[in-house]
Amino acid sequence: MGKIDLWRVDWVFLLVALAIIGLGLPFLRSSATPGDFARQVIWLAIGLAALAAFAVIDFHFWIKWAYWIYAGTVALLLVVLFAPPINNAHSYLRVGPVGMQPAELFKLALILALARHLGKRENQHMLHGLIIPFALTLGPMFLILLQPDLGTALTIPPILFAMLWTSGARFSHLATAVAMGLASIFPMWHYGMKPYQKARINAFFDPERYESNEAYQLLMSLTAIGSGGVSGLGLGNGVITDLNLLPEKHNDFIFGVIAEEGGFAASATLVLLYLLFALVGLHIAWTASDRFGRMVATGVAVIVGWQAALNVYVVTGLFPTTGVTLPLVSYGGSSLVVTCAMVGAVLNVSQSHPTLEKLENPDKI
Amino acid sequence: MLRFRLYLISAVFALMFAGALYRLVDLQFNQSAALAAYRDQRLSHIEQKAPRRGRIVDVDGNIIAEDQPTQDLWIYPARVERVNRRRQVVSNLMPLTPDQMLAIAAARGDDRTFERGVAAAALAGANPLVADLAARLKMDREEVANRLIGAVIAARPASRDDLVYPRLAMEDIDFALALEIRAARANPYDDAMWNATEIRTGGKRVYPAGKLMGHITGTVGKLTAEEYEILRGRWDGDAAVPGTGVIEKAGRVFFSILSDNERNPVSDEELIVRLREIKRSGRMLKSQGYFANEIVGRGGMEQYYNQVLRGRHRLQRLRLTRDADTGRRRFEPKGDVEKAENGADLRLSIKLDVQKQAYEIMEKHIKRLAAEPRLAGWTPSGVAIMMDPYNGRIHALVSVPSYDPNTFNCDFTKLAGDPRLPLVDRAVAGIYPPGSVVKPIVGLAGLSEDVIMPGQKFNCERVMMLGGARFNCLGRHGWVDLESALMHSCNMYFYHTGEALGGRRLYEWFTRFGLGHKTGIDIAGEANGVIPRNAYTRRGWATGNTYHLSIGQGMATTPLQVAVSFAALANADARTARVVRPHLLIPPVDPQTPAEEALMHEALRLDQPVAEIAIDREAMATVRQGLWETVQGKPGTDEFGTGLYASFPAPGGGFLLEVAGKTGTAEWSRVVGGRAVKQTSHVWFSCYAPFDRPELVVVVFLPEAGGGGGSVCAPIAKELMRMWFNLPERPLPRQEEGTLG
Repeated sequence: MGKIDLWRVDWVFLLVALAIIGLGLPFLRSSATPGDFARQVIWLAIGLAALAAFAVIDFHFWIKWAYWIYAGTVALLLVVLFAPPINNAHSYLRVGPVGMQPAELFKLALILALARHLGKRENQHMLHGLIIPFALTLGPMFLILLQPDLGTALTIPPILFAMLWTSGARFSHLATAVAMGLASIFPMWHYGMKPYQKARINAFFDPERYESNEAYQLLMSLTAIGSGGVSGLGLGNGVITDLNLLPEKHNDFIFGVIAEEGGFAASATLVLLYLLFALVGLHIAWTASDRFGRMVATGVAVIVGWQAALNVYVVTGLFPTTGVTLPLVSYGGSSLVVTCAMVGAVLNVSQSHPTLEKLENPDKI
Repeated sequence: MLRFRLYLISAVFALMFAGALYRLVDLQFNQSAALAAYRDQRLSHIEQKAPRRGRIVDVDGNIIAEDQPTQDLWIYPARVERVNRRRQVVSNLMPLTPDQMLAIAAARGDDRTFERGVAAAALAGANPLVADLAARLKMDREEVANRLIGAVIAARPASRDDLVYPRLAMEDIDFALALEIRAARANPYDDAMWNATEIRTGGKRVYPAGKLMGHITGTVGKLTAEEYEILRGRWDGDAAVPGTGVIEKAGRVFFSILSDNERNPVSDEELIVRLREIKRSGRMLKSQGYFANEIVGRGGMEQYYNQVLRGRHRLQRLRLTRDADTGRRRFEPKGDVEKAENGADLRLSIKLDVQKQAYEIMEKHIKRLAAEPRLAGWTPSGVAIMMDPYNGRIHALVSVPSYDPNTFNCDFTKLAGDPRLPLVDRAVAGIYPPGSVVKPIVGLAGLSEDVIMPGQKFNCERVMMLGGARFNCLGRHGWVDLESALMHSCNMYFYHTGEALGGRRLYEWFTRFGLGHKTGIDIAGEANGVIPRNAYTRRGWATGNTYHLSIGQGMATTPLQVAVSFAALANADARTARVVRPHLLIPPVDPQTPAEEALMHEALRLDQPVAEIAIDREAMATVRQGLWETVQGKPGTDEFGTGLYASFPAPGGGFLLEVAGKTGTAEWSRVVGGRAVKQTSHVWFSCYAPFDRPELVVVVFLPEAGGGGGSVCAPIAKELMRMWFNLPERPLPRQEEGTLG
């Protein structure tokens, strides 16, 4: 338990995170069952506790144990593949009444492990310096794809690229890697993808043909968002929400509920809050005391911002349907607690005092 | 350097969120109204409910066909839930995972994934509703599941949304059971399961007269999927054109649909406007407002007057809402798009007890004949027609064997395979050579066309040679005039007359009298008949063909057409004879609704003759005299005609009822192994009575009964007339040996 310098804590970042949670909560209440909502409130309490704990504990402690945490999480990812499937995916580990998704935990573990590696080594501008970070990321990502959970897997690579970028990797290297990743879509399509995943992508490009089944969710989501209009139908008054016509309305598609009941006012506010979250997070990375802190702040800002953007794109039909949760808002304990912990870690980064090296040359990578 | 790198990431985020915001502005400002409208359209549903189908009653109002209320079981497919042991709803039966659907689609090789998936899931799942229903209905579980799935598939759900609408699963379930299910539905503890069911009151067609009226009423059945597609095709414009072509392509006759279409044409624009509103319902037939699975007439008057009988379906707008108390989704009525209108009742000219007696008389005689050794192997069948000669109203229309429309649908396979062909209405749809019953027309034509003189005689030597062929008569009649020729049914006289007229004029006169084409009776499935013209035979027209035609051979008519020709002979006044349109519809007793008024006008229109024939008074008198003598015999002599057995001699001389009639015995052959083999003759008797003031035309026809029309059919006709005119039963004046042709 280190000392925390309250004057240096970036309160804006905390306020933005709390605003996102506070904005989402009423809509979760109108879309989830009372039982689910109560459960989520308990998770939120745990999440806030985790936030506080991560804010208070010096983040270097987590950096120190990063590889062990990483190894434990990867072990969980392996174990979860043998767990009984829920909704045809091996993504839940259930111990008694409590279930958790190792993939969510992995996001934090990866950020910490990458921060540790990238913070220590400074050879990312060399090609061989990329080998270990890529291995750390892609191995477990493959395990997540095996679950199968394409949505969560898709949220992982931006962490790697953003953290490599801020640690000094060359643009040409990263661009080549991105190009190779995009090129791998084609073999994936033919060999790796499940029929339902293909159908979703087909439905994205031709929604009318798949109106009844695959594109149904999207159609309902667009209808909910559009019919919300500017000011929304009011909390608890959403027609599509109330009639339970939008599948996953409390989960991946909660943004549809927010847009229907809260209208453009709520949906746009939320989008701007996420943007603010990302920008403030990146600002903390800029002011961070050392390379480790910068890496942690960058990873957290990017994972939350990217996940939010992806979710909004899916729900508004700009991207094929993939199961990505809206961070801090969607129903789901693991995601909420882990994200809260990330926020706490960034808060801790924000208040740590800069090193001499940092003071001398703030723009040094 | 670091600043630049972080700015770049920030810029990427700013761009991404700007894109999201732009999309939100587009959806929530620009497209908001359209999407809200789409939502409202998608949440509302137009439900159709069939009205009471019109009844069919006889002259006195006795019921011939009516709808009886039934208790029908409906299901809400989306609510058929699977419940686990702890009575928690695990999943809905219907919405499958995309994986399941695609797997089933791949296995089946079609795109009806959804319905098949439903079927598979229901059969696989241990569904408590299915189990409970099976127990209550005492049916097999799989059978119940199949019925439920069948209901879903038959309704052709267009999308997952459609499965929230109820479907008719089982018709006419036991009343006590229906009460039980209603009670179970009311029980809140059973809600999860019974919520998926609903008991609604439906209608079942019953025909109290049974097979007595089978051919006349026809029966009802559901519109098949195939017919539905045809009707849809007309609207969709898939190579289908309005008109008979489409209908004939499927081998079915939708006479009712077409006739209504001609009478009340609906403009395509109007149709589009009406259909666009209800397009989402998915089950709406896109042509003529027909619905999938709706009850339509099959044969007889049910088919002919289907549009009148079906009335107008109620179209109710429902909107999906959530019940505040239970939290369940349900449909709330939001007013009617179209009000229901019960089908109009049809009143028939038939008197049920007359029809019954006629049917029994026919059955009795056919039974008696079938027992005769000479008719071993006969297919017992026969036709009796009793008709008003002035307006064509049918008093009795019997075709034996008949079928019971109540059990038609269950017995169909048996009926269709029956060698006696009970499904064929021989009076309306059977065509046979009329034989000598056309001779009065030939005689009338000869006199009217001046090819024979009044009082002209021909010599009958029993046999006449033409080329190498023999043309026979029944007997050696010597020199006969027209009256005697009709009386004895002498072929020679008509060979000569027909030869003088020629084939063309024979054809014209037959056609003029209603033979060889549809009479227009208001029963579906009427046949045309055939009268050959010159180019009919392969080797061209020979005089022999004319000879055959002039005695009613080598042509084919329905018994009804013969009745029409005799009606014309009966109703002729000094100048004209009228070709009536046989029909059963008569005006309703007290027309009130527009539909009933339309029916009244239709009935009055049917009473009008379809054509008039200019005739020569003298010629008609001569022919009628011949017909009179055929039955009553030569006045002042002992000479009797072929129709003797239809006469009503009074005890002190004279006649209780004077009848004008003609017998017919039509020969025919069947080609067996390349050779024509002579078959047992068709026998006819056609007459009208009373002679001077005709009020009834009777045709009795027994296919392949042989023995001569005078001895087989005339007594039956006599019995029918005795029944109609309420005459006492008396022995025949003379008992004669031999047969009367």
